[in-house]
Amino acid sequence: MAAVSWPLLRKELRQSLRAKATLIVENLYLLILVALAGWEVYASAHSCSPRPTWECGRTTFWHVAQLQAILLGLVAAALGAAAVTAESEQKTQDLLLVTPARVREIVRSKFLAAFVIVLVLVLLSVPVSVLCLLLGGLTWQEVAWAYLLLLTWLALAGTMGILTGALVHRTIAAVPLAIVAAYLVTAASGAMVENKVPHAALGGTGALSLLSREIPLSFFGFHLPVWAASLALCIPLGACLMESAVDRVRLAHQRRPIAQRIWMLLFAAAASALALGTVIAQPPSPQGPPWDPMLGGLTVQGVILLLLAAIFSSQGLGKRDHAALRGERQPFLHALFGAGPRAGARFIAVTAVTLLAGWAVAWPLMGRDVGVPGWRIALAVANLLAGAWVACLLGQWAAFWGKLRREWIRRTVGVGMAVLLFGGIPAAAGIIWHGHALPPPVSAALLLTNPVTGCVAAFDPPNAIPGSKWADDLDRVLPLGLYPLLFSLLLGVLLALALTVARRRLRAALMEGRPPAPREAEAASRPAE
Amino acid sequence: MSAQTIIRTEGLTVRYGSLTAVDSLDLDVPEGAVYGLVGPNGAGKTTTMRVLATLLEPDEGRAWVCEHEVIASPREVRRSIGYMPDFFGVYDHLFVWEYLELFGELYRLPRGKLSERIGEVLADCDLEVKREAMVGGLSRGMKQRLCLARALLPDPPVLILDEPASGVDPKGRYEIRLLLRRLKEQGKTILISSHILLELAEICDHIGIIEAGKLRASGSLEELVAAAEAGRLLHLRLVGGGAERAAEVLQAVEGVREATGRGDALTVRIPDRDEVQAEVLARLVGEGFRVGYVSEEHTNLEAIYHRLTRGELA
Repeated sequence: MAAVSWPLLRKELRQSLRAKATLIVENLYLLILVALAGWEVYASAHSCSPRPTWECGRTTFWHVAQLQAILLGLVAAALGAAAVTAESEQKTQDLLLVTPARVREIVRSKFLAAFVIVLVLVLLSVPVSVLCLLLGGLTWQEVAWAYLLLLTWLALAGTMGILTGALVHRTIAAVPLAIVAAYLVTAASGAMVENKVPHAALGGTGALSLLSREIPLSFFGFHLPVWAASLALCIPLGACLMESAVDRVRLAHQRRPIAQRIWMLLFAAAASALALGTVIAQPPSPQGPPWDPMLGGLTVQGVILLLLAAIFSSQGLGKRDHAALRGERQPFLHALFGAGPRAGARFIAVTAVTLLAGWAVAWPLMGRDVGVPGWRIALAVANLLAGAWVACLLGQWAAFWGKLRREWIRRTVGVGMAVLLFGGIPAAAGIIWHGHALPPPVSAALLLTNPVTGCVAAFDPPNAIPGSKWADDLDRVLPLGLYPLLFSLLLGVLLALALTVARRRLRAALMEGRPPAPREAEAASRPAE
Repeated sequence: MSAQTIIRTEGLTVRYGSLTAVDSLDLDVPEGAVYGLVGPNGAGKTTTMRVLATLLEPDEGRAWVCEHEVIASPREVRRSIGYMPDFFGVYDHLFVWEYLELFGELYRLPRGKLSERIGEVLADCDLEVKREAMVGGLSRGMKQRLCLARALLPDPPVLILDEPASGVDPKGRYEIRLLLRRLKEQGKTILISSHILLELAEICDHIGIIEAGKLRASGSLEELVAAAEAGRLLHLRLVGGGAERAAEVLQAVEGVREATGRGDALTVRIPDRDEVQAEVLARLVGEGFRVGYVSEEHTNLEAIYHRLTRGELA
């Protein structure tokens, strides 16, 4: 079985290279590279304290590399998105789908075509890099790693574009969305560098910054090469995005999201292991409490776990789910325990992989007294598990609601709400933790309702909100970390009730043979006869 | 599935939200037939064809092409069909031969024979002279024919053609008709939809009339004529008038289904039999009417279509 459809790849390249826009973009890009390199040399020669030549070469190289990561990341995402949407808009997608070529081959060819164009643009920078190498201050290994990181990031950006194109269908919407997504990832990765967060390796600028500043990630007592972290994160995530795009292009009954889920689990494992491993391996700050690294690792792992639980459980319901639903007798109990024939298994898989991968790495590094009783650590982990359970119920509720009403509800609610609740709020929790307290009602709401902030409360109740008397009072009644846990349990039961209603309705629709939900894409683009 | 049936649907139902586009459709297309699917806009023709081309999943029911079920064995179905949608999907930046070569390779045609096959289909579609032309520079009719050439490229036993002549000039339509006849002679089974009923009547040996997602009638043209009970329509002019009274007289004649008259114009609907027509004329002459002019209007597909459909939309 061919992994790529070569005829289609050839077609894509022919089309791209015959378009005038390609030539314009290539020339413009080359102009920018030369201008940047020229400016670096000029500035170095004319500054008040002229730098040595080797330093000039080094600076120029890293600046060019980071510029490439930003610019070409956007180009790769845009090309990927346009390659997929062009088929929909030219109405040629159906013609490709009725050939014996597999959907996976078609989508991979689109990706590879976009990547080859970007690769040509990367190769245009080789003369500049060689010049920098000749100026000194750089080793050939550094140049090789930089190119490896750059290409890894560009491949990831390309898959982001491919998925956006498969989801959105219209070039005018897909290209800007893909560009924004790629920009956000690379900008966020750059911003993470100062904190040495390993996720910086996910995006181009972050990874390159770490490499150029020679800030190695410590891992298992070793300095983890940045390129290894980058590959460990980018490969499973890129493959997961690609599989998601393949699945979107397929007909509903042909969808097999198993490969997508496996890649997502691998990404979760890698991210969790890197997060915990690198954070816990750091020596505690003399100013901070001894358990600070452990809490940091737990928080990062918690966010990953909650998001993945929501994403996995909000995935569409298939025929097997429908069959199980028809024979269901205890909808509330089913709703309560992971809510579904397969959602429970997915939840367990996500939780097990994320937690085990993280702690398998972190445990050997824990050879010091963190100064927190064991039951407080257990309470923190219980908060995370309860939060993941709530996220799972939320995703399932969105899946059922989407099936009953509109498919977009599932995607928007399932992932959007999870990001808002469990992604945004921990960020706010971070603000609280670092002493920039929010207004007391907001702090209290966050502290008592969010499972990730629950971790903070479980570890160090008096300092969860510094100087807050009510927090101390509450902690005297019950341990402070118990409040968010109880809130999660209550929220879970309420969600289970809501899910029970949705399950009953869907079951009734299935038993009566009514269509449970409108067809997805076809309803919007129904061919006019 | 019977040995002679090459395309079959059983209770095929496709819904778009609350709209049922195809409603329990049972279709049988015999091997080697040219089957015309007729119906108004929104009747469900394109949806049916998309299901058969494995591009759309039915909500209920099943469909087979060449004994392969479209849901269970989509790849086998795709190898058996040449599908031409109601729009021409082409890549403007490719040469005509590149476009066909792309699809030939996607259909896994042997590379050694591909160039020869491209030449054959271009000749069939009268596009030989455009082999080295850019697709973007072709006229609308040529693009349509290029699409047809693409569908013919893998030499499939079944062709599913959705409005193949839409947007094509009269000469182009004539050429497409000739081509379809040639394909029929080669033993291809063709499922075709069109709005131009007279054209379909010329090409097709089987017709299915579809409306509101339901198959109203199906069979050969003769069978449909019988089913529609349409028969023959006589237009007569009576010298000296009296058509109203003549209509009353003819109501009593055996076989006359309908007779209406106004002034000197008389219209009579009878079965498609010369004996009944002779009896009508004899009775009129016998009753003293002077018949100045007679013309016959035989039932065509358009008449049957209007008689069998009610103008409903899916």
